[in-house]
Amino acid sequence: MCVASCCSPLRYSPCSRANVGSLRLRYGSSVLLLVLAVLGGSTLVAAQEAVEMVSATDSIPRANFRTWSLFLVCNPEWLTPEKSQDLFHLYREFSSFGRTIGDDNLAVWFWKSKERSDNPNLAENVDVERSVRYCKALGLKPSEGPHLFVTSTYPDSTKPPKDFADFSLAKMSPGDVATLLLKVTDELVAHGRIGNQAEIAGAPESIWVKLLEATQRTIGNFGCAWSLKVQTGFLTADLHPPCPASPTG
Amino acid sequence: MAIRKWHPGKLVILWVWGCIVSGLLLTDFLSRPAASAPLRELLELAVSLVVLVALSAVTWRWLGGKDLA
Repeated sequence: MCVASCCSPLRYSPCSRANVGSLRLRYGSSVLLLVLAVLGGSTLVAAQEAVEMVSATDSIPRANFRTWSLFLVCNPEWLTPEKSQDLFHLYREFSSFGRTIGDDNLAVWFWKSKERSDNPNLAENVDVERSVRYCKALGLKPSEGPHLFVTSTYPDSTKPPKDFADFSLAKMSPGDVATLLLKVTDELVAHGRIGNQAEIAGAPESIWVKLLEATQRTIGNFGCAWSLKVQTGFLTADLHPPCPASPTG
Repeated sequence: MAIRKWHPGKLVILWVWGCIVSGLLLTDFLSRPAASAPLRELLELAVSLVVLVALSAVTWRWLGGKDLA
């Protein structure tokens, strides 16, 4: 019931059983992976673009991960047909994110049933109920969803973890989401955790920061408004502050 | 140090030092985006303004009434 992150050539997961059929395995590793899946009795989350695991009872893989990144769709607006295309794009972004965060970090997306992930009408297939359970347990507002929830402790649908970061994607443009995922990827790959969440999310500036910036602009513009010309019999000087040339200049 | 008698030279010295300090602070204030270190930027602006206001107050107090003399 999840989309695992980009994986090492061999990654075992208890929740991937129902999903083997949808794995897009690379040619080089597909035979080996299938053999291991049959022999081991467990399913594989392997080197692939995205792994789709479906079942409401599947648990999120626990072992050997430093972080879990959950994509939670709790906002009903995102389940309407009008938003289907956006959700599809979001899924593709998230899928790429999952591939780039490394073997230590897992990206999870909840599905309802086995369907190809490239179906543009995938809103119907999102396991909203499960996302809602997590949103409720983690105290996330559905209206601010979809959420990207990153935690360094195993995610529990009954209580919030101690260390986590939540990014609300509701008001973000596709470009902003891509930028955010890039920053989160940087953090997870470089540090194995999310550092300053506000900085990564590009938190809106407070009013006094805006005032400071306005003051800087005003003083800067004032500094560019003057020039001093000195003309004496033997000396001529024309002083201008070092300001950028005007666009019309 | 108590100043027993004001002299224009003392005011000039105070203003020169005050302008240097204030100018440096304002230069630093303008040299980076406010959002990068808001508290520091705010402090720099506030101190530079306080220095200029304080010098103005001292000058005003010392010059007070001298124009009538």
